[in-house]
Formats: sequence, structure tokens, C-alpha cells
Amino acid sequence: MEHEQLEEILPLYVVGALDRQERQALDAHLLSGCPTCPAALKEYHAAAGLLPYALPPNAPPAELKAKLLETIRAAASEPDATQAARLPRLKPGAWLQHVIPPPPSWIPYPATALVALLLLAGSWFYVLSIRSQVTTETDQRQRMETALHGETTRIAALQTQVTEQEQLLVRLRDEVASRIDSLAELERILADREGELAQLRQQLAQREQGASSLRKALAQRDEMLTFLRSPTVQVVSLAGSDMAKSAGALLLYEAESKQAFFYAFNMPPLPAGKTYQLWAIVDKPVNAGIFSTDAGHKGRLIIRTMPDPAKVAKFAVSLEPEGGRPQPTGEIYLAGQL
Amino acid sequence: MRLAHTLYWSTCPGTRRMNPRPRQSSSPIDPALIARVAKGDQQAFGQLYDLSSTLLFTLTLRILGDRDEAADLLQEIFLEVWRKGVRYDVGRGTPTAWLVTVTRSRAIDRLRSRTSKGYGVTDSIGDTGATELPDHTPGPFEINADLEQRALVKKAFAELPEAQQQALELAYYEGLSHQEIASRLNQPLGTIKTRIKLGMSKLKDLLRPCWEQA
Repeated sequence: MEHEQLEEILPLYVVGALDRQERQALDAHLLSGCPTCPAALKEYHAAAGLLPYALPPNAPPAELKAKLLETIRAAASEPDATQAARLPRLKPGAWLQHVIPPPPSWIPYPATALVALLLLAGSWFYVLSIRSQVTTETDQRQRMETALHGETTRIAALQTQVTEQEQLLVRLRDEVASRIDSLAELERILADREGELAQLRQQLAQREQGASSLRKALAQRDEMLTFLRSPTVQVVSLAGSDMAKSAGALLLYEAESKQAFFYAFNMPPLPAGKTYQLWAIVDKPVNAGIFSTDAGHKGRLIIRTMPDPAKVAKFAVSLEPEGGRPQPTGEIYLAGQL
Repeated sequence: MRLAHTLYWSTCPGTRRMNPRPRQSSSPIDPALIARVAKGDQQAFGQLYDLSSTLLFTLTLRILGDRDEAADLLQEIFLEVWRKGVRYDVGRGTPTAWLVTVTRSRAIDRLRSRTSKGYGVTDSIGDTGATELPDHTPGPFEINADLEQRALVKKAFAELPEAQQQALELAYYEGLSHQEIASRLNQPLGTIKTRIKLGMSKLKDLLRPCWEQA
């Protein structure tokens, strides 16, 4: 956490509302020697320290003070480690009796004095060696304290780093979540577009079908147009018989390609299972093709190889069973010659 | 004798000091008194008790809601101060703030250990045993300065919006973290943090004269 964020949570710190992690981060920050936070913290502490004054006051039980004073007096009269500093001092010289016990009465005084002197010299060397040891240990302790301080600072920095990393992680998590959301949205849009595309493909297939039939029709027109433009075209007209008085037909023959185009109009509608068949009668009737009629009572037929009409005695159209017959069997509907 | 005490005026705004601090004024506590206690001065210890025990007992009772337990804890805290009084650091705040911080923290610890042992938890201030107890009669050492300080803090606290008061009380007296308060009150975490921040900032501004002049 940054200094600004930590400064912000000082009020929460003094009322004990921070969680452990935040508290540790703030402790580390305060230890790191922030120049402003300690002063602000002191003020918040002072304000929090006054909070209990807002409560209705309650005095403690009257006997509590006496009980406490009694306890501390009893503790003071019993020497213990914590009160050692307050113990009465030993009388001057009395400490020597702790180091050298008084001699038994059977040892003569000069011997005692000699032993005491030797002991004293020994003690003096001992004290000197202890003192040098203490100095070494103090130095060592100071070095360790310095190292400890360094470690504490390092740990504080690491804690700050960990906190920052955690925040970064949270931010990344949020971002991933939002990315997942937008991905789902994109997937939905993609599915919609795919549906639209399938519809369009279907429409395109239908259009292509229409275009193909149009192309076919156009090709036929082109063929006919070419046919009509040719200067060698001959025309045979066929008239309706009694069976179809208002009907008529034209046969266009192009000598060079030996192709013919037959066009009939006002033809009576075909009964079911029947077809019209065109005949070229030279010596006997020769099949020239079958055709049906459209909604406008018109029929069309292209004949790829046609004998020269000049050699044909007569053209006729008869009503025949479906698929046509090798020789005419039904009524004649149209007839004509060049 | 006691008349002299009433001449000691509060250090809070709008008042000024008329005569030197009497020996047994209720507030503020002189840091030198703590130093004397640390040196083993039993008389100083008695004075410190007179000056702070009502405030600290009020606090422990508010947190624990039980007179016997509050008194037991108060005794423990005073003995600790007697033994470790040297731990008070002038640089870190007033002696009162230090004593209140130590007391609150020990009381909250006790409250938590009690909660973890399956005791009930107080939900709001109105439910605490403390308010059902007989009203406080001013003790022999409770004087004008203390009364004025109380009135000032009470007024400053009452000036906060109710929601801020509630968030501060749940943290300070119930020992709840901001997350616990948010889920207890069913409010967003940010709202609770803001309430505590605003509440404490305002209290700090309103009460600043109390420690600045001290």
C-alpha cells in the first residue's frame, strides 16, 4: 500500500477496525520512518483515548483500591526479580563474606590472610577476563541488533511488496472477469451473425436457381435471335384444323445450319397424358419432335437437323399419347406447307 | 479542602487554567506521575488509581458488560502498570490515551476469548448491562475538569451522525473489524470505512484543544 492509502486508514487503526493484513502493513510503514504518519497517528490516538469520556461514568467497587494497594505492598516486602532494584543494599564490606566464608577457628590468622590474598588475586584475574568477555558479547549483541533492524526493515519492505502484489492480483482478476464477460457477449453476437449468414446462403441458393433458369431462357432467346437474323431463313406457316380453328404456327428453317424453330399459338390445352407431335411428311410422316403448351397456350420446339422444307410435302401437328408415337395416331390440329 | 479542586478549570476550549494543578485532579494525568509509579512509588500509584480508575472501569464495563469481570480486569491492568509502568512512552501520546489503549485492548482480548468459549455477543449498545446499572455518583476526586471534559467529549460524539457513532462503537467497544461491521449492518465495506474515517476526523478536530493545551 502507498503512503496515501496508509494515511487514510489511520482512523480505522486507532479504533481497532483494521484486519490483520492492513494492520501489519501500517505497522511496517510506521517502522519505516514515515515523516508524517506518526504525528497524525498520535492525534487520532488521543481522540480515541477520549472516547470513553462519552460513556455514563461508573466507579469501580470501593474495595478494589485497598485490595490493589495491599497486593503491591505484599509484593514489595517479598524480594523478587522485578523488584530487585528496590532491595536494601548490602553493608559495605559484607559482600566479601559472600566471596570468602569466615575461617574456621582452628586455622591461624596468617594462613587465612595468605589464602584470602591468593583468592583475591585469582578473583581479580577472573573479573578482568569476564569484563573482556562482556565487552565482546556487547559488541556482538550490537552487531546482531543492527542486523535485526536491517532484517525488520527488509521484512517491512517485503510485506509492502506482498500487499501491492495482492492488490495487483485483485485488479487482474477483475479485468479477467470483465474480459470473460465481453467474450461471452462476442460469442453471442457471433452466433447471431452465423444464423444470419445461413439465411443469406439459403437465399443465395434460391436466387442462383432463379438465375440459372433465367440464363437458360436467355440462351434460348439468343439462339432464336441469331436464328431470326440469318438472311437464309425460310418461313412455313401452319393453320389450325377443325380441332383448333383459332390456332396457328410458324416454322422457321435456316438452310445453312439445317436448324428449325417451331412456334405454335392458341393451342387448346392438352388433356392429361397427351402431347402434341410435329410431323414432316416427305413420302410418309417423319417425327420432328414433341411439345407441350404453356399457360398462354403457346408451344415451342427447336429442331436441330431438319430436312429442307422444299422437299417436304407438308408439315402437320397431331395429338398423341405422352412420349409421342413413331407414326401419327391422333387427330391433326395444325397443317401447312412452304 | 475540596473547594480548591473546583477552581481547577478544564484544559479544553473556552476555559483557562486559574491556579496550579491540584494534587488530585482527575485529568489530565501528568507523565511525571507515571514515571514515579515506574520507580515503585506506592503513593503515586494510589494517585494514578484515583485519577484514572473511574474512566477505565467505565470502559471495561462497557466492553465486558459485567461488573465483576470488569473489576477483575481493572485489577489485572493496574498490577501490570505497577510492574511494567516503564513501558509508557511520552512520545506516543498522553498518559490517559496510553492507559485507555492498554485497557481497551485487554478488554477486547477478554471479550474475544469469551466469545470463542461460546458466550453471547452484545448486538447494540442498548443491550449492554452497563446502561442498566445504577447511575454514577461523582466520586471524591471527580471535579470540574473531569466533568467538563466528559461534557465536551459527549457533545462532540453526539454531533456525529448516528451511523458514524454506531460504526465507531462497534469497532471500539465490540472489537469488530470493518468487514465484520459491514456484514453485521449489511452495508458495503466502503461505506463503513468512510463512516469511521469521517467520524474519527471530526472527533479529532473537535477534541484537539483537549490535548494541545495539555
